[in-house]
Amino acid sequence: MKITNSFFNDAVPAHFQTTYIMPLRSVTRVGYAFAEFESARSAIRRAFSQPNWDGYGALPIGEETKKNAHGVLSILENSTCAPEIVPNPNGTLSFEWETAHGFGQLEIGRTRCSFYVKRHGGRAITYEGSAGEVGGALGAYVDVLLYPKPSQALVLRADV
Amino acid sequence: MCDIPVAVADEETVVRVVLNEIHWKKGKLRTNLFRGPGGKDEVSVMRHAHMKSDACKAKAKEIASGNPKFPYVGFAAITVESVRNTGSECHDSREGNYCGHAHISHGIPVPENEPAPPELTMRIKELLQRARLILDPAPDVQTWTGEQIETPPLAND
Repeated sequence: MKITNSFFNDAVPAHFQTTYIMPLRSVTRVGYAFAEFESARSAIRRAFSQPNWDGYGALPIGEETKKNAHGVLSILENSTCAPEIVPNPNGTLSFEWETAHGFGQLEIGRTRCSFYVKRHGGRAITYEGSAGEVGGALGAYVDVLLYPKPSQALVLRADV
Repeated sequence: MCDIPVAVADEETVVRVVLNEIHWKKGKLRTNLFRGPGGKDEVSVMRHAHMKSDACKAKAKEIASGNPKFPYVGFAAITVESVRNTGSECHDSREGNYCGHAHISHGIPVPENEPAPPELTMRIKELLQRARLILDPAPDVQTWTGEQIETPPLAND
């Protein structure tokens, strides 16, 4: 399933409807550890700035990519758990979430981003777009699919 | 002269060097292991079936020597059949490299400083799940003293 703008304007598929109302941006969602997000911020700052950091000719992680990553992390802080930060040899940063339910990855570059989240045995949801225009919906998909809360019955508001 | 056959058989095991904190963290392999630098669709591997463990280890320590903060800790081993079953290819690439050098080619070039498409990142995750992490119990020793790398075992290691 590929996310497009119209996807969010149409009715949300029934199996996604047990989601949540995103909290205000200034509010850290209960359970999303401040320390874990600070750790993620630190990982972004420390991400490899020198060439060949992997011994195979990796590109350094540039400042624009890091700035984009910080911006996206701030958005995600209101919608899901902190990701693991993984540097990539082509100069991008990946945000990754892995739970018993599945896997999600959001890759941030100098101007673009790409995303997928997939529950085990399910179809992948994918998205590609501008790194500067990532909204909270991607984090919402991660939260719903990988960190399901059994008693919640709220409505997804998506604004990718 | 390199007398390894050019054709890479399905049953061969190829290995990728694992560096601490870069490719292996919190006890598991990371998705950047099978990612190459921008502009390419391939990553370097060693044909362990022909090079054998000691030679692979020597090459691994050479690769890791440029960044002592992130030392060599072992290998990720995967059969060529597993690689091909995900949709990527494995082919010999000794020219300009060394005898036993090969590439895993994904067929989807990754741009510099911009993300890979989701279809590639999903495939790489699948490759990772098929790879076997083999830690070196004595990384500072010259020879390989760890478990057998071939899956299934071929000639004597």
